[in-house]
Formats: sequence, structure tokens, C-alpha cells
Amino acid sequence: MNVLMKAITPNWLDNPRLSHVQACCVRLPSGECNVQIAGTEPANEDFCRAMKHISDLVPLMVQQRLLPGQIVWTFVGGKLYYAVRNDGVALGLCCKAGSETESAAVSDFIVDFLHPNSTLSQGSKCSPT
Amino acid sequence: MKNPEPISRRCRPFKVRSYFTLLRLPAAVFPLLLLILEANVASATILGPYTPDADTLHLWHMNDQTVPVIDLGSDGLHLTALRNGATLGNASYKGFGTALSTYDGGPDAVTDVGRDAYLSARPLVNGLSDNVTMTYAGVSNAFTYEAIVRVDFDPQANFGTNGTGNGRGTFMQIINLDADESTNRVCQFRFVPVGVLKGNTEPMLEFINLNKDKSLQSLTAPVPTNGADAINFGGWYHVAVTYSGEPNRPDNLKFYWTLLDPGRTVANLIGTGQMLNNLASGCAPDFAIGQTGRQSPVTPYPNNNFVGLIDEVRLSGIARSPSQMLFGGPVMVAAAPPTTPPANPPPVSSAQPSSSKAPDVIEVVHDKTNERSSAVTWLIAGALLIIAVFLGWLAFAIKRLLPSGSGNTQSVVSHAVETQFPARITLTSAEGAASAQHERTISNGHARQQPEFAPQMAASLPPSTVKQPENGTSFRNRSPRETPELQARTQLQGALDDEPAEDAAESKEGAEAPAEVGFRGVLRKVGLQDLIQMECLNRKSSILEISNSNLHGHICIEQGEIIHAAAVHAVAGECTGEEAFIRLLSLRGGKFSLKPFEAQEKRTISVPWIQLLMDAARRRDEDTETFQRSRSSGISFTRSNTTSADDILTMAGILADHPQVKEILVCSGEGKQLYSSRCENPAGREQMCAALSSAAKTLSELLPVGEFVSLEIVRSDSKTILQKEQGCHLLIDLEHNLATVS
Repeated sequence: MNVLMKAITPNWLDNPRLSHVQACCVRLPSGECNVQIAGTEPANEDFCRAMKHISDLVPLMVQQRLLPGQIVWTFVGGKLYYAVRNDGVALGLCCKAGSETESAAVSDFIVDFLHPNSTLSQGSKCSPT
Repeated sequence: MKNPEPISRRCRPFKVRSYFTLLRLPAAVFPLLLLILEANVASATILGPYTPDADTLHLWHMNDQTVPVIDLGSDGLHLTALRNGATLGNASYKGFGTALSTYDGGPDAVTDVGRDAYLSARPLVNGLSDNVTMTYAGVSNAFTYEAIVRVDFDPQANFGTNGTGNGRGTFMQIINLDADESTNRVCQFRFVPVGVLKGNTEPMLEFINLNKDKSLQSLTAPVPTNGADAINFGGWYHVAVTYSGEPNRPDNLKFYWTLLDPGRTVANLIGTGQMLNNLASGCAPDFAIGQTGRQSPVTPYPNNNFVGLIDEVRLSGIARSPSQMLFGGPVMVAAAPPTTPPANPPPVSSAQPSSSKAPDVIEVVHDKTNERSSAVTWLIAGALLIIAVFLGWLAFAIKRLLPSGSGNTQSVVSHAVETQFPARITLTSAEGAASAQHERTISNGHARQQPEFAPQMAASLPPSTVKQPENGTSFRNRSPRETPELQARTQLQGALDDEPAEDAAESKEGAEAPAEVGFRGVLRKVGLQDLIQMECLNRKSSILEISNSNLHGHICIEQGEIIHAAAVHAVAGECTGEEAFIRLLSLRGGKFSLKPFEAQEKRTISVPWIQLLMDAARRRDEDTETFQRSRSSGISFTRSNTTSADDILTMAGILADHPQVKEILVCSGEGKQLYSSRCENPAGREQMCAALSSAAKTLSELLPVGEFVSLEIVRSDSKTILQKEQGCHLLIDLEHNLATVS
């Protein structure tokens, strides 16, 4: 069953504070994920693969007591945020190098996602769009 | 062996002079001679401040009139927060200078505002900013915590809250190593007034091993209410708790309570207990004196003040014996007649800071009641004198055999004429440049230490030789464990290695500097990075001024954070912020001056100091590369990978000492472990490092983000950073409140 991304992360792309977010993905414990892309890059499939790649590391990181928490990958041309909740639902955000304000908006967005009563994802099954 | 001679014959000055002028005893023997002379008084009843020894972890004389209260122990934990009505400068027991008062609202205060006075390492908060990394036990896990206290409350009064007491209902902390968070809770050493602990009917000392909240254990001992050491209103007492370092052994914990009295040489044991566990290791408690450092839902506000004065707080890494605690020792001098506690001492909160300071002239009184121990001492002294004579002859013979030259030390012993059996000793180096003089006059059983001997001399004397100048600070012989931080406390000036001419000038300046607060001198082989790290690690506030012929500037450090830097270059002009910091740190020679902090108009740096130092090191390398390339006239210079890895390893070694660094690991690009510190599972971390590096490479290929730079894993209480540096991967686990690395 496909669920529209906006049903999971309502209006996230419409938020002007998140203008530097290139892609957003919610990945469920089942492995299914839902991706929305702001422009042409990255491709949905690539972002799904990237999320899967990180998710595969999660058990090892939990074993090493590095998770739960959030991971911020910094690259020369951008950042990749990855946060996983206790219920196993993960959020990924791929961002261009942004201003401090935009980074703060991303942080707020992730905090909202990590909140137990978050409206972001109610555990619905999703698949890559 | 002969019986010791009467004191009037033992130190006949003429004999002393004859021996040493004839033998030209080397300077090294003089401390021995001093010991012998001081054996005169070793048997005397003596009472005065401690001198740090090899087992002293912390020692606060409390003679500072304001914070920071200087720690003379090896840990150098200066106390910076004096809050909520706590005061310094209160007259202590005679011979001890001044004391801390945490009296606050007094014994009848029943609200927190009257019970919250404290002296602590950092301002107390419910959080991590008041935690301090400190040593609180020896390598064998043994410890001794002690202090002298004045009881400014009625010890028989009931402080309970059940209707029979005055409603106060709180303990009185003496030495507290508690914390807000379980992982840093170590212990409490406190006084328990009547009625506060399960309806106790007599006052007690209590030691609680908090053990990170895993298995708390409370041990108590009743404080004497009658006899020689009975607790009385206004009395001064030595309190101590010792632990042998052997967990779960009978009597491994001991409590002492002793009336301060020049006639007492052995601490009074009041109780023993069996502590089940060693103190938890690796904690960073909210260290406080006279108050609890912990704030929690149960104690949301500090309300455990000690109602009285506290002085001479010492933490040691061994279980001291009863005779090691009551201010005894061969040159620990100063005696006072027994001080009768005031019948009705004035409330400490209203006490004016005393004008009396630690005595410049320290007296020793011969105790005629102690003749037996005096005889033993003189037997030892006689043996030492024989050894000294032998060494003198040996030195004389060697001197005859060797050609004469510079570097000889001449010694002259003469006698002063104004006293009955004086011995005046003057040491003079034949080199003349750094002569020092130490005078000691003994007259009629009273000895006086003159305050005018120079630090150089202090360095050549035994550790126990103490001088207390007028400003209350002390020169002392630094042990190898002691950091130079103490000397850098107020003002420190020096020169970087590459400018020897300026070094010499500084050295001369330092030698001629008049007595003042702070020290001037030359620190060789100490880099600016070391100095900055020292300031940051200790969360100090200071301004470091740096200059050479082309560049001058300053770096502002506030509470251990680098907040501002500015530099002016003769050619390149002005710059501020990180660029200025890096330029200043890239200097290879020049002068520096560490000055007291002044508030800055703006903050130009927000990057963590760790990262700044790394950037500076990197820049220095790049400059070296450029420099070498230019010097080689066009021949390309390429830095080898080995050199780069060494830089990272060096930096990792520096970072490992940071109190907020929980663990650190350096792996090569291939995933091989190069360095680790405090990693519980290095192999697992190595595997993790390799996996994350591999993932970073994959992500870099999948997403339009470019090359991998770093990775942060943020958790509620800590953060892990994986950074790619010079072909290596640096993994650091940090306390969470350290600023982000991005």
C-alpha cells in the first residue's frame, strides 16, 4: 500500500524554513520507506538505498551504544540527517549546506519527529514512490 | 650511644661553624643540617598548616581572601564559586590564617535561603556545568578526607523536624563529592546534628559511599560529647575519615574527631566501619565544601550548609595514620597556646574579614612534657650528624681530587650574636647569579623562619620548607606531580623557544621582579597550545597576549572557552576570530603574557577550543610545508602520511585529557587501530569506525553531497564524532554539552 508522503510528513516541503532540504524519507521497521524529493536530485531509489545502508548499521550502532539518537553526516556539499525512534521508524533528511537558521529548522523538524506523539508517521506501511 | 645533651649545649654555634667552614660541606647537606637543627623542635608540640606531600591530592588552606581558593595539592582544583552568603577571610584557629564560613542563616534557619551557603569548584547548578574531574582517592583506592571545623551551633540542640527539634532538619556537609546525575555520585562526608538522622540522640559524623547510586552505604560514628574531645559550642576540631582501600574488610573505614590543641599529636579515633566498596571511579562530581553539590528533585536547592567555619581541607590518596593528621612533622611549625573557645562566639555571618593573615613569623614552642620523644629524636639527629660529617669529608676529599672550577657551592655558617645559641646559615652559590639566602634563627627554643628567601632557594629545599609571604600565598618546593598551573594563576609571562634573546631578557626581568601577586619567569618547552589547553581544561578565564617582531595579538578565554582573538600583523594587517587565533598559534617564537580576564565587547569565536587547536596545528603544518618548499628553492616538499598520522595521534593524546572526552580512537584509513584511550571495547569501536567510513563512502556516491567530512551521533547525554583527518579516522566520544563540531 502506498501512502502519500504528505500524509506522513504533512506539508514538510511547503515549509519555507526547510528550503534547503533536498530530500526527505521516512523508513519503517519493515524496510519500506517513503521519499519525497524537492528537485531532481537525489533520485528516489538512491535515497532509499542510502537510507537502507544507514539502517543496516543501526543494530551495530545500538550494540555499540551509539544509538538511539540521531546521526548527522557532514559532507563537503551538504548534510544527511538520520534519526531513529524507539519504535524503529527512521527519518532521513538530505540537505544542501544551509544557513544556521535552516539548520535550526531541521533540528526542530527532527525533534518533532522524535516526539512520541509526533504526527510524522503513524506506522503506516509505505513503499518508495 | 650517648644521651642527648641538654638543649643549651647541643647547638653551640662555634662548633657548628667550625665543622662546616672547615669541611666546606656541599649545599646538598644543608637541608640535612636543617633537619638536624629542627630536630630541636620535632619533639615540641606543634600546630600549623599542612605542607603538601606526595600523597596530598588536594589541600586548601583557605587563606585566600576571595575566590579562587587555591588548591596546593597535585590536582590543582581551585575553588571558584563562593555563593549564597559563604565568606572567606574569617579568622581561623591561631596559626591557620583564615577560614571559610558557611554559617549563612545559622542553626535556626529553616528555609533554603538560610542554608545554601557554599564554596565549590564551579557554581552549583542542576546539570553538568558544575561537574569537575578530580582525583579523590589514591591508586590503591585509599583516601583520607579531613578538615578543621569550628562548631558555631549548640551540638546538643535538636535539629529535627518532628516537633521536638527546631525544624531545621538538614545535615551539615563538610566535604561533598556528590552530583546531580547518578553516574557522578561519589560520596559525602558530613556532620549529623541531633535529631536529623532517624531521630539520632547524639551528634555524629557520617560518610556515605554513594557509588553512582548503585548501592549506597552510610557509615556513622558518634561524636564525643564528653571527655577531652567533647564537642562544644565554639570549639575547633579536626575531623577526618580514612579508608584503607581494601573493600569489605573490617575496620577499613575510620572516623576521627579531635579537639584542636597544641598538646594533641595523635588524632582521636571515634569509630570504625566496614565499607563494602571502593569509591566509584571515573566520576566528575559537583565538588563542594560546607554544602552539598547535588541538586535533585529531593534536594532541588543546596540546603546542607555547615553552621560554622571550615579550614585546612585536605584530601589524600592514602589512609593517613592518626599521627599523620594533626599537623606534626619535622618542619611543620607554629604553635599556639590552647585557644579557649569563645563562650558565645559571634555569628559568623556577621564576622568581619579578619585582618590577621597567615603568620609570617612562625613560632615553635618547646614542650618540656615530651622529653622521651625528644631523646629519640636526638638519637636520630646524632646519627644524621655523623652521616653529614662523613658526607662532608667525602665532599672535601672529592674536591681535593678534582680540579677547582665554577659551579662549586660555597657555604658559610656563622652565628648571630644577639641570641643565646643561634645558628645562622647562609648559602651562596659560587656562580653568583642566582644566590639565595635562607636564614633561620633559633633562640631560646623559639625558631623563626625569615620570609625573605627566594623561590630559587625554595626549590632547593625539602618539600616541607614553607614560606608564607605577606600576601598569604606560599612558595614551596614543587613536586614532579605538581602542574605549573598554580604559578600561572594570576599572571604568567614567558617567552616562546625560538627567541633566546628575549628569553634572556625575560629571565632577567623575572629574577629582578619584586615580590608581587603572581610569578614571572621563563617556561621552556611549553607551547602555547599547552598553555591554552591548561586554561581551557581548568575552565579558567584569562587573556593570553602573544607577540613577536611581526605579529601581536591576544586570545580571550572565558570559563574555559575561547571566545575572542585578535591579531595585528605588520604587513597583513588586522584580523579577528578564528583566523587571528590560528595566526597567533602558528607563531614559532615570541613572547606571551597570561593576564587576568577582562570582559570583551564582542565574541568572535564560537568554535570549540579543541577544534581550534586542531585547525591551528593543521595550519602550522601547512605553513611548515610552504616554508620548506620556499627554502628548497623550488624543490617540491610533500608531507608524508606518516607525519600526518603522527599529528593526529599527538592531537588525540591531547584531547584524551579533556574532561568531557569520554573515549577516543584513531584508526588508519584502512581501519587499523592506531590509538585508543578509555575505549571499553576498542575492537568493537574499530569495527564501527570501519563500517561508518565505508557507509560514508557509499553515501557520498549515492547522494549529491560530495566528499565525506565528519559524522556526529547525538544522544541524550553524549555525542560521538567521527572525523576524517589526514587519511585517518578520529572517533571521539564527548559529553553532550560540548559545542557541536560541524
